[in-house]
Amino acid sequence: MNSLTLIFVSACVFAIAYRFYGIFLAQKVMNLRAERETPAVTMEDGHDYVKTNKYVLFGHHFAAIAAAGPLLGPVLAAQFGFMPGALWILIGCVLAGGVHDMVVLFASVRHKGRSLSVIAETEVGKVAGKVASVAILFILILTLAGLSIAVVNAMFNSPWGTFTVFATLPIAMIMGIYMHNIRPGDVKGMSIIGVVLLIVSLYVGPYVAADPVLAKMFTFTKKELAIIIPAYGFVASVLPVWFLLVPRDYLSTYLKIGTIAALALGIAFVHPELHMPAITPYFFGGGPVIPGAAFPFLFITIACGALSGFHAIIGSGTTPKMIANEKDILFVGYGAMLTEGFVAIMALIAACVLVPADYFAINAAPAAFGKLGLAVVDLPRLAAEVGEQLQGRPGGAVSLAVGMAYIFDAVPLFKGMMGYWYHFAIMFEAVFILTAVDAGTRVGRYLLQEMLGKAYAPFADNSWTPGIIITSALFTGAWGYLVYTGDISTIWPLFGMANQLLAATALIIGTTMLIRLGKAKYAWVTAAPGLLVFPVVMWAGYLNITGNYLPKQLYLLTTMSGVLMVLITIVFIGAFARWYELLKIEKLVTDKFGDKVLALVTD
Amino acid sequence: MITISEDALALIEEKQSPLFIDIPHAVSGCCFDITDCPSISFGEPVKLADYTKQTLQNATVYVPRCFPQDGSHVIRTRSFFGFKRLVLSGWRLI
Repeated sequence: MNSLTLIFVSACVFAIAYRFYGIFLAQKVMNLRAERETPAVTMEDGHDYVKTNKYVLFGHHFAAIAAAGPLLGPVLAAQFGFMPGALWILIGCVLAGGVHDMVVLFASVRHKGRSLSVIAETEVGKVAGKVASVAILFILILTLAGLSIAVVNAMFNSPWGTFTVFATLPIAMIMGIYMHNIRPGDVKGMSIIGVVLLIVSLYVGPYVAADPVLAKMFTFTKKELAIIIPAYGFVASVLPVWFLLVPRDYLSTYLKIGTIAALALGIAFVHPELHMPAITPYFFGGGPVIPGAAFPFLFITIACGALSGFHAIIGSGTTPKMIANEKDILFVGYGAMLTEGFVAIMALIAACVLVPADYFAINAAPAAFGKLGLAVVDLPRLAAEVGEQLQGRPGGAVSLAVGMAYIFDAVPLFKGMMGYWYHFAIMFEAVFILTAVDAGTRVGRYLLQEMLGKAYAPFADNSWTPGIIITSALFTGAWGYLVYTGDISTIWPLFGMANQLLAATALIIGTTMLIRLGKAKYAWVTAAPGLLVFPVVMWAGYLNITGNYLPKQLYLLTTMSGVLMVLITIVFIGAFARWYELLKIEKLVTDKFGDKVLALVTD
Repeated sequence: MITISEDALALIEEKQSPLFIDIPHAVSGCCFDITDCPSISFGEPVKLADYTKQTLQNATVYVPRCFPQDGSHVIRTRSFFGFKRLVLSGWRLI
């Protein structure tokens, strides 16, 4: 099948979904009204709460939610063929992911821009809120481990790739110093410096790889990188944000939007054939990339591309504080998720343009690939053209980079630049994963400080240096240990499970709020995906424990999976009890917005 | 609301200088959404237009215009290897 067909079908599905289902959600379910003032208006402080143009806010929200998940998940799910992944992305985005993002944004806007755990505490109960906080900490650890493994697999024994990724650190620092100390506020100057230095680092990369001394300096094994990346996370997370994190976040946002737009144009221009069959023999299990059958493992492999709990963190973070008009929730919440689904489809295409044997050679461990009885086709040529050993680099990042380079290289003006495109793609993926490592470690440290502060008060003080060092070390140690001891087939399913369980939880919290608002007849829009995803993911989690972790004696991962499943179940039980309480109420009351509701809550 | 602790007031008195709170930086690049705690320095900020000059407990403090209005923040001292510095307590990262 030609990739353009898939692009066309996806565009049609998303456009129709937005026009009909999105508007139904906005008008009937959430009753979004322009005259109801948002927190950006009532609580405007020029900092967090700022009225923002809906197109600008869409860009901000999309850049925040479109991370590694929608790119790597579909690439890994290509193991089952292009059809299962494409169907789950299309259906999941429209009926689950988009609804999830929209209802969380709506709930947060109605709760003065508060976070998901605070909303859970208000809508469901105190226990649910506390449990949700602990679950979020678990999920953070797993996410950082899952994302870091993709970078480790892309960078080991790759001096060119490692050099370009490492070069982004001093580049970001130069940008930070320029912006903070030399010419404060000169965003244009900082951007020019950053872009020029990035291009130089890409250009210099092959010379570094060709130089025996420099190549040795930038050549690391997987184990070495599994120590270097958490150590980096520890150091980076205690540096001032203006020095490294803010400039790199800025760079990564523009790289991300630019690269995704270029990939879309590249696919439309080149419209390559999909070499991966619609369904592979691994649909029923036995595949070398993901350890299980498409049902239920597909649902924990494609995380952010179809439904993502992480979006609940963004949707109850800065975005709700910037919504100028309640009606913008449709465009920003639902629209950005559909766009992310489109990105996931493009990532799936980038993986499926590769010959299946080449795809499996990249994404399977060499021993597992050897057992498949497949012979690589284009891989030796591709490896020679990109100047890297490509076989046995699981994690999705490398096959995505190869697929992207393959597409870009087919554009007439860009011919013969495969090596540069490949390394650009690796740098692009690594830059925003490292940004996530830095920001995520700060968030994890903060949550840990809050928790430990209840046992020993100084921990709660975010300026107490020993507390910062201890909590940073504990948190980076936790996810670093998983990276050091795990691999993509053990970490990614757990990350996917955690992400989907968080999403199901957010959908159930949203359902509770809809019921309380007297919208029980429409509660199915969130309850159905939440209640369908929950058992499927729990089942996948059970299969992952019994079929993947226990045979490999991975007791820590088994325990983490079990604890997470129990925590989320507690939130669900709390929510069901609250539904029961709410549905018994017969007399409606009027809330501060003038709506008739079943019960009032105080923020 | 911003208040200054006794130890911080003593340090400010000793330095005989105004102080400013750095502009808080927000990061929401990939999966996470944070606004890091701003640092506090002695002197005047480079871009005065971004600040309001306030007198807090007889000390001159330049506060960013975008500083959050809710919450209670305290300017305090922290000592690290004998070097005293001012820090802001009560900041919420997320």
